[in-house]
Amino acid sequence: MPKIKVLCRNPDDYLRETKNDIHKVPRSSSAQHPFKEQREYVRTLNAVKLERTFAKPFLGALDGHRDGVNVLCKHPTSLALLLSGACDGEIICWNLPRQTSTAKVQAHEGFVHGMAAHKSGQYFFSCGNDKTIKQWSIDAQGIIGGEPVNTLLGKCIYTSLDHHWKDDIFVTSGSRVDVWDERRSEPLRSFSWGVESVHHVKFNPVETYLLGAAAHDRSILLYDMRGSAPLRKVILKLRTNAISWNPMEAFTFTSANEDGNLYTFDMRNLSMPLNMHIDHTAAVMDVDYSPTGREFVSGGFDKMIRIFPVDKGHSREVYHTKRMQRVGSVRWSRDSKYIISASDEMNIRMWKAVAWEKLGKLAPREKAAMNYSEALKKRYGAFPAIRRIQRHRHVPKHVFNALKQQHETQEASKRREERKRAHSRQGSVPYVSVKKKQMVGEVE
Amino acid sequence: MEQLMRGLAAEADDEEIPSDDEDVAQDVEDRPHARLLDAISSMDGNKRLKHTLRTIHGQNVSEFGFKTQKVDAQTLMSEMMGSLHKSSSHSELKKQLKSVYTTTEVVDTPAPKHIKEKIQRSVGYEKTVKELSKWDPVVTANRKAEQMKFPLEQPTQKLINTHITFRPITALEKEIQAELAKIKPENRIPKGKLFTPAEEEEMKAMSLEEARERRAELMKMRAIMYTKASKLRWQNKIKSKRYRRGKKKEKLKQMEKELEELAVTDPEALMDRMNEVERKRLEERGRLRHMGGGKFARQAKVFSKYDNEKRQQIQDMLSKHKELVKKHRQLPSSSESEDEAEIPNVTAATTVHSKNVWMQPTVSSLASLSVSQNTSAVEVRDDEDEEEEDEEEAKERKFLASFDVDETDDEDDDEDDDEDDGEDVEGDDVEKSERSEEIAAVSAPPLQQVEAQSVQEDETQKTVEIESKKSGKKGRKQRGSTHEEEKRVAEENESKKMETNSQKAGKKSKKQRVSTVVDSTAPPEDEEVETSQSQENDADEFEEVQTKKKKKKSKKQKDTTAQETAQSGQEKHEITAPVISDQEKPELGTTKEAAKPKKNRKRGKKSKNSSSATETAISTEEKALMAVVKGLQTTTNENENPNTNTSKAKKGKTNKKTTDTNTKTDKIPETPADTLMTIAEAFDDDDVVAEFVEEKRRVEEEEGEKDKDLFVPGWGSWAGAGIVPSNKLRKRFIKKAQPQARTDNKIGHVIISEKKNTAVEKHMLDKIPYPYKTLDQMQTTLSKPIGRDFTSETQFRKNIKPKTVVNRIGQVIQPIDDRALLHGGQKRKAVDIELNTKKPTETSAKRKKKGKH
Repeated sequence: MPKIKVLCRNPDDYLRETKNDIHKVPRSSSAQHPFKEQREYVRTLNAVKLERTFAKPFLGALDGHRDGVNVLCKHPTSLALLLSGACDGEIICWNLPRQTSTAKVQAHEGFVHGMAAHKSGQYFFSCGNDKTIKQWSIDAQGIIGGEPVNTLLGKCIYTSLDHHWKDDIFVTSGSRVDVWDERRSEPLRSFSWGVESVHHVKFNPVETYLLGAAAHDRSILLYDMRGSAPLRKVILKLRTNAISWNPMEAFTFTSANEDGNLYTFDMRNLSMPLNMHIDHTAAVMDVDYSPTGREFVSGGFDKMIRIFPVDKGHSREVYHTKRMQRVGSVRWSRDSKYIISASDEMNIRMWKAVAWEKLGKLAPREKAAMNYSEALKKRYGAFPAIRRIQRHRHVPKHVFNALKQQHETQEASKRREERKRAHSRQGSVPYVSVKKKQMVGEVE
Repeated sequence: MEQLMRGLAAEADDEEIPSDDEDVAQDVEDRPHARLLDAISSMDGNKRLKHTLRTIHGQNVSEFGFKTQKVDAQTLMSEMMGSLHKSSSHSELKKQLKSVYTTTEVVDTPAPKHIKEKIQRSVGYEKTVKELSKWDPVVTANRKAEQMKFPLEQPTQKLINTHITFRPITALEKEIQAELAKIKPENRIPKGKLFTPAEEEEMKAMSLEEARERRAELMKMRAIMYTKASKLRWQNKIKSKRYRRGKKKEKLKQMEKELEELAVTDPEALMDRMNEVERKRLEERGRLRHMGGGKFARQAKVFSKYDNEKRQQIQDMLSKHKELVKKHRQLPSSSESEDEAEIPNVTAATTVHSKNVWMQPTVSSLASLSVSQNTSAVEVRDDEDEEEEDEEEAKERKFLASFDVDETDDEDDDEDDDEDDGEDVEGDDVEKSERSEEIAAVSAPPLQQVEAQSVQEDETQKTVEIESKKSGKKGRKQRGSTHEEEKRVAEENESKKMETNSQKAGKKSKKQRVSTVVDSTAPPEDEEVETSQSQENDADEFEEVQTKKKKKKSKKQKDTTAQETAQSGQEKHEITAPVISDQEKPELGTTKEAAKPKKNRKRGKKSKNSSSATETAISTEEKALMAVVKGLQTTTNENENPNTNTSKAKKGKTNKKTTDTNTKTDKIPETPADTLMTIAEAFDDDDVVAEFVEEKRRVEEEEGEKDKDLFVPGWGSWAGAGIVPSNKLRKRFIKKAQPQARTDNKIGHVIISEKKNTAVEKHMLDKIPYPYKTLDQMQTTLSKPIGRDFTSETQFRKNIKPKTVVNRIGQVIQPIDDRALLHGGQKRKAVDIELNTKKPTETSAKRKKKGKH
């Protein structure tokens, strides 16, 4: 049989290799790793469960006050020290890691309304119901000098006090907002707008000349310390109890409102809040930003402490204990790791900012594992089985019921509005944002 | 202004109010009087404009303190001042008036306090907003940032010279120190500096920019070199004939030119060249390349101008080549030579693959070969039976067709066999032999039988490999003697048929086949016959055995069935080799039997059954037979092309025969409709509807709620040992299942399953989560896993980067600062300054220009 030669061409023989022949080798081919998504999903599920298992945020309580704690003040230089003022006029300096008090001072007659420390951490100011502003010296160990260094007698009750972030200037609120130089007995400047009484005032940490204040006429006021006139006023439907400036964004602040919501504003556009943070079931008394500017903590009359991401409408975390009563003041520690709350039942409590976080130094592998689980949670967080576990929090019955009621009310009003809209002329019942509904107006 | 003037005029007109130039004292005296007047006027009830009086005692009375009273008649300024124009004095006053007339602007009244404050506030606010907007880029960047590290001001990491504080203590350290001391001072890093003096020198010598330029230039050069080299390499590899021809022509031309030059300038060199060419020619001759287009020939053509001998040589070469070529072309393709050529080919094929079981030529292939060889002579031969001429022709055509394929596909057959998914080698081999038997039975039954016999004999003693080889050889050997053998076989067959009392038609058909086979077998060449005489005897013996067997078979069939069925059965057996082999099974009792595929056995059984069936069954049997043939056809189609051809021919034959038998036995011919009918009849008993109803009931039962037995002994009665609870009580505790509300309840002909896997539901998303917009997006993201196990370490680290990082525990994070606004540009600048200490020099600039050109 003759051998038949067949035309047979292999392109490899006559085609040269080009750079296009170098293929990218995918590392995560599904052939190599079957069920990779499924495996990661299960890992997420486990991570979430572990998160819940390790979520033990309560670190300890500081007891020593003989009345409800009204004010908390972070020490500007030491993370270990904390100042607190009670309703009986006593000021205590605490050592947080040891959970002991370093000094106790009977500072005022009646309430201590406000406290603020100088940036050097060597002295602090306090104001109270006795119409005085007192300057106290404090050393690095947290020992407060027995007698005030300086006492200013005012004409009205000072409801709040805050210190400038850089200069030797502090501000008080009362029947008006006074800006004081530390070395003078008369205020440098006084701001008043109408006949309101201002109960809260705060310095902007970034643009330090800016002031935010909350007044009894349900308004939030903005001042420029350098000018003679206030800047603007926003009136909400209910009173604002406290405000806190975002330390990473010069123009953003959040206000804690009597209606149980928090409103984040951009001070350049006050016609409507940027965001409305819903979850508290009663008046929110205090709010404080994390030094990272990503989250803030709030506490209120519903005996809950809640942590909100700045850009989210609902809280990511809720802290409470059986014994904790109405929360008067909350602070986020300057290293962004802890939260301190003061409540009516004379206790100060320390919490972890991230409930499941391991405290202390982490080994690199440990850190990577944590980060991995966080990344997984972020990716698969929307899946219902994971979300359910992640979102689950136990809340006291009163809060649970109140939340339920709140939800029902909201639904009802929504329904009502829908019906109204359905039965009236088109356009006569306009859609109004919920955020907008909370506003009374902006006053120039 | 005019109004104002009018007002002034009115005031001036008013009698009751004293003018400025009146005495003030009198004014004071007048006040009680005025009051009195007022009181009086107010008594009458008529409203009267009050006199406003100044209460301040002073020399200078403001003109704005006055108010207008009701003016009866308006006095125009022009009326008042009319006389002024006429007079030539009061030029100063005139000037002032003029300016008053020209400026028409009226000063606004000062805004009220609350408005003033509002304006102040809004101005302040706008200013602040403008000021704050400088933070916008920073804030947006931070919000978008994949990762933010806190505190924002990271401590700078500077290179610190460690040797400054280091003191050697141990021996090793001291030794190292001593070694280090030997280093030249220029290679040592001095205190407080980052680089050694040598390094600094280098850095001075060339600025960064210059170095970059230099590097770019070098890279460019290298790229050019590479491209040039690759181009040349590529050109060398060009296979285009046209291109090469062109190149060669160029070369030749070049050579011609050179030779012409040499002839003029250097005849010796020319001679050398000639010698060289001569040498080449010799080489060429040695290689026996006589084509005119060779390298030598072409060169010789060039030299033929100068050398007559050369010309002659070329001529010779060409003639030689022609001669050679002529001879090649004269080779005729006679039938003889073909035959001669073919046989060695086959043998070669067999020898080549003799060791490989798969590559051995099958009996079938050999048989078909023999057939095909014989068919070449068919045309020459005269037909014996005139009746079957047409049939013959058709067969011939088919055989010829098969012949064509035969030769070429001989090898392919073997290969195809290889591809068969046989259970084991032996089994496959047996199949092959069977197939060959079958074909041989059709085309040349006597020959096939002989072959088969030989195979069977060998089987008992030798391995499959050897036996197949042998059979092949035998087949080849016997080819010569086929003619005589076949004749004898035909006679014997006839006699056998007579014995079995087969009907005329059957006999005829048998005869036909035999005759055809005889026809088809070519008359062997005399020499061949002579040479194969010795083998003939052996073959005769085999033949006898075979015929005996056949007789036995036919007897058996006769016993069991009617004559007709026997006839048909016989036919079938003859046609389908497997059946034969199956029936031969008990006689053979070889190891091969076990390895026979089940398919064949089944077929055999079928045939047995069919043989015992009634007349109606005969038709079905024939159908089955057809099916078997068809099946075989398909299998053979897959395996061997020539075989299929023969089987096709066979099929036609069998069909014809069966119809023949049918006509003889008055049987109704079959049509497709009939087969359909039978299928319908076959399913006549099954009630499909009832079956479905049953199935639905079963599904309902399975998916539905079941009765629950809640009975617990002792409940509702006395308990204890030996107490048997009554059935009545038992029944009471059985909770009956409620009838289900199934969706298919009202649809009779449908089963809708109520089973639903709810276990997965809780893991399923009901909508696409936020950052994703489409399912595809989400799936692609999820398909890229995060974990270490699935990606590289670097990718893993990138994947798990957290958004917010707090670098150190217990560090205060300060609020963002004005420095954040300056970041970016400044840092980069600093680096530039550090590295680009030297500005690009003129030389570098020149180089730049050159590079551009």
